Amino acid sequence: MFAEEAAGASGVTVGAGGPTGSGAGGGSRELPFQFTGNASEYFGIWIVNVLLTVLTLGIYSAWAKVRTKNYFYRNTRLDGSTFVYLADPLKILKGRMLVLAFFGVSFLTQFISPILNLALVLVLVLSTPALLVLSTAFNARNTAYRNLRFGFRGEISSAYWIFLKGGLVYLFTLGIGFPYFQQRLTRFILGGHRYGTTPFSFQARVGQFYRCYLIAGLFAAPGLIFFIASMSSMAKGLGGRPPSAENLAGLFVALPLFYAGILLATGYLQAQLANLVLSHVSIGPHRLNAKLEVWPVIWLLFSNAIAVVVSLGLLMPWAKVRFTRYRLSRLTLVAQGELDAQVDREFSERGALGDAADDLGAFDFDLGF
Amino acid sequence: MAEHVEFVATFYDGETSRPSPVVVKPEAERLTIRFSAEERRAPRHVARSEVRIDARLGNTPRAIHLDGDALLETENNAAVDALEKAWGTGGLQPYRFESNLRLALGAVVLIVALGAVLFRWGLPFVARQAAFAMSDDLAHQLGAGTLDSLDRIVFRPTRLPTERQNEIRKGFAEMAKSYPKLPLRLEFRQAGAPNAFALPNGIVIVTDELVERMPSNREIFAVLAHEIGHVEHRHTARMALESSIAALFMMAVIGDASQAAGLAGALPAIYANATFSQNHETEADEFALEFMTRARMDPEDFARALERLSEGESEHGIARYASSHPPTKERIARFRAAHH
Repeated sequence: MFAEEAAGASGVTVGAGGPTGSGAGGGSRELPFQFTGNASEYFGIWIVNVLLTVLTLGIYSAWAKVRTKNYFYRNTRLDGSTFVYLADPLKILKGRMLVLAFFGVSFLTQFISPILNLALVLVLVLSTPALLVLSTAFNARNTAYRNLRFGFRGEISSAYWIFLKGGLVYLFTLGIGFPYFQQRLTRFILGGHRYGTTPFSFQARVGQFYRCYLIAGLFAAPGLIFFIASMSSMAKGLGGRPPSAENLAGLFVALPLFYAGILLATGYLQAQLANLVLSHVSIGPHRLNAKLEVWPVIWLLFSNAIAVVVSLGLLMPWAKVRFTRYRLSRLTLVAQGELDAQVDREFSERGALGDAADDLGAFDFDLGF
Repeated sequence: MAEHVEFVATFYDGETSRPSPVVVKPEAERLTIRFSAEERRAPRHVARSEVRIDARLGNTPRAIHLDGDALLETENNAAVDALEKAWGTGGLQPYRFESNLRLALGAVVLIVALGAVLFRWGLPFVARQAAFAMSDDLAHQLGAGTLDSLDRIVFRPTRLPTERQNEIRKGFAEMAKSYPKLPLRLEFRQAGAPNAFALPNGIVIVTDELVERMPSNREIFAVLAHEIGHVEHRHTARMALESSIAALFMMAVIGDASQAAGLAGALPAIYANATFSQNHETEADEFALEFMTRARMDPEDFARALERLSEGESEHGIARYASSHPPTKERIARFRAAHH
């Protein structure tokens, strides 16, 4: 009855487009992520955002943020559906004003009372773990897929523990403990998420993080050693005299080698850390799988920087779309059965912290995850 | 009266993530949602007052929020646009501007013009008002302690002969008499390079290397006039205000796009800060010129001091946009013009 009527009326039939549930039932399927946005469309959105932000002296930036984020979420497709960012721009504006007020006050106190200024900086540093939890929760709660919101259930006290332990390890090992801290924090953040009532989990081990940094270090090492060696030999021979031709030649080789090593190491870290982190995220029975490649990432970072500089910033939207398209093209979800999940009634409202905490979480507190 | 067009959509009940393919039939006062034959669900009617349609964003799927937490999502933007037109609910949407390429190009021109006006005049004006709204006490308290830290990190005690020091001090005291409100104080330090600078609390520091490079004290007095100009105009406070407001503003405008562009995102800030600093230098030069004319000093002394300070330095074209000072040639030319 239904199908005939629809076909008769306007030639539309149900099931022609959109997610159909595909009826696969059980079994494992590898669902690709796909980015469907394009640079010229995003350029229009970006340029209007910039113009209105300038015209309103920054106030529109909250709306601009939601529109931008949504352009990327709405163009991220998985199993025929897209993601959506539901945050209220007014909340984000309030969050930004709060941050601005805090920095304004701390800016002024630096002239009036250095002690008070120091106290404010200390307050900011000490509240970092709490702010991280609040803003993670805000962003998770305001992200949805198939009309079901994500959530974050990490406890603020756990965040403090991780920062305390990580900070101590970091200090006592002179930075060598950083991968340990990164693994714990990533596990806390990603593992604390949920989709509806379906919990996330994160399984990458500390050793795997160390392996990434070790290999990246090996890429950077030759250039670094050569660079330091040629600098010190030059400094030794110098003592007031101009550097010899030999010194200069050495530096001429060392400098490009140094930069090449840094670029290689950065690209390697970007690609392999993303692979490590994402490929160890599970959402209920499903899991993510990321296969970024080092050379394309290096090429993207390098060519994007050149393009943005040469175009005086006008190719920024192109660079961002290009970067996102590549990253999503290398990401899949290995699904077991359907992507069904239930709404989280007990937590969907706002969490236990109420309105004020929600406002605090509304500014962007991005540690680069 | 616009015609109502049926369109395909996906229905979510708000309880689960399960998608149901549906056909939506818009009418004057309601939407009728019909499910597929397999689902065996009765059509659902939603009154117009219970429907909220998201603003269009490019060609991305459009959300239609229904009563409760239910949702329709459709790829058919044209049909939703038609529905909004028929219901008269669309209003003025950003999409109309965002999708208009000619308008976008106009926006580029407008942004550049507005940005130039804002950064060239607007922000410096605001920072100036704010810096002069500060009480004298507060303004001269800024930078207290700066000399102590500089002494610890960069400076070594002066090795200038006491005689030369006293000559310069005497001249400086004479100059400071015209500005009784400023707590001016002169300090000599060894720093490894010829330089002079002023702290906001009125301390003017001259390095041994600068004094040694100037055969005549008159040239040093010319430099001191420029430094007093920095104190009088409260340049330190203004620079702090200007650069931090500019940084905040750029964060709002460029924002997260910087991730994809790496370091390139920092270039506008470098250029803006150089511009603010160059403006202050020009202002201090103007102050010095005026002061010297009033005190019957020879502007040529300032020109010669600049020449001596820039010896062995070269200024390349592009460096001009990142430099803290205006090109020396232009600065010298201004004083020479006053001389003749």
